[in-house]
Amino acid sequence: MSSPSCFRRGFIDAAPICFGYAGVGFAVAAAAVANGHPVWSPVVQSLTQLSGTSQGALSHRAIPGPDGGFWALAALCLCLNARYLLLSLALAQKLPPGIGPLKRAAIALSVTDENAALAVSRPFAPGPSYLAGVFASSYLGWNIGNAAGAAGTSLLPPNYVAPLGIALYAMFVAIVTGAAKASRPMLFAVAAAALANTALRAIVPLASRAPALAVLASGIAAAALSVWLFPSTEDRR
Amino acid sequence: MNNAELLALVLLVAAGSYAFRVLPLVLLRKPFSNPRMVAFVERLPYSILAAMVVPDVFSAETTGDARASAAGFCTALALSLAGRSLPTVAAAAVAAAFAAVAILR
Repeated sequence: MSSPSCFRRGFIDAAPICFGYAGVGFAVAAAAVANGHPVWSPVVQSLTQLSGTSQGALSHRAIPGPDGGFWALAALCLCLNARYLLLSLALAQKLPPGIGPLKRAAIALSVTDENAALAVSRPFAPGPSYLAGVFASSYLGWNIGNAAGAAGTSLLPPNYVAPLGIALYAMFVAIVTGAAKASRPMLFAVAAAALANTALRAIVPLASRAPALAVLASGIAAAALSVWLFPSTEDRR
Repeated sequence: MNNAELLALVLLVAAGSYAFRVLPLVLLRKPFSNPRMVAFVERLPYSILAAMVVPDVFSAETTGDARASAAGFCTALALSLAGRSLPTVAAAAVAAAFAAVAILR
């Protein structure tokens, strides 16, 4: 297949991702603005990081407090996105041979949960042109959704858009529930994290003043405990 | 946090996220051999997301009204358990929160 037709095929294969990202991007950006972010914030975020989870984390607490909010939030987002290591590794096994480092660096831009799942599930080895098509499609959807969500929400009065704040949490609930339904160790990890964070907030006064730090500590401790109790990744329902 | 700090945070997270994406493709290339490491990296994002939701979702700050937040959360959980797609879950939770605000005020 020639490069242009590979690109087109990738672009079309990723069309469902494009539409899904447009909807989710709209909600993430709307929630960010409803939470007090300036309009440029979700727009710059969507242009620079094709990642709903870290963008959601940055948006859900509007402007973090002075108690270590900056570094705790940065660490939290990076822990969320450490999973890209696994996705990129899976994609690296699937690429056709003979792709140079520059093209690999460009391919890395396309790695998201959905894009990597699409690329890895193809019956052929996805090359740079195909993956460029996948990237273009998903990036377009994500950014159009974010721009529309940010602009639309900024035009409405703040009281009226407040209930949009639930959109982020709803998305997190959907992502977590899907994973917890598929695997018992995952169910343990997410339940332990939710309990740990609730207990920290109730018991440790510092936790309420530095919520991002409490979330980070609870998440890491729960994931580590789940690995200690259930080390195998094969134990799926 | 002022605008300059927020921009720095956004760019820092963007750079870090790209590093996680590019390192395996350019340098590592081989899968992790340690299953515990794989299990930890797999579960970490979900446990962090769970801690981000609970208990914050039940606060009034989320939607402006704690009862609206609870309505949205219950709707999201029910539809997620029923296997509905992410945009559907988000839209229904927002609708439930708006409905709760309209009815209860």
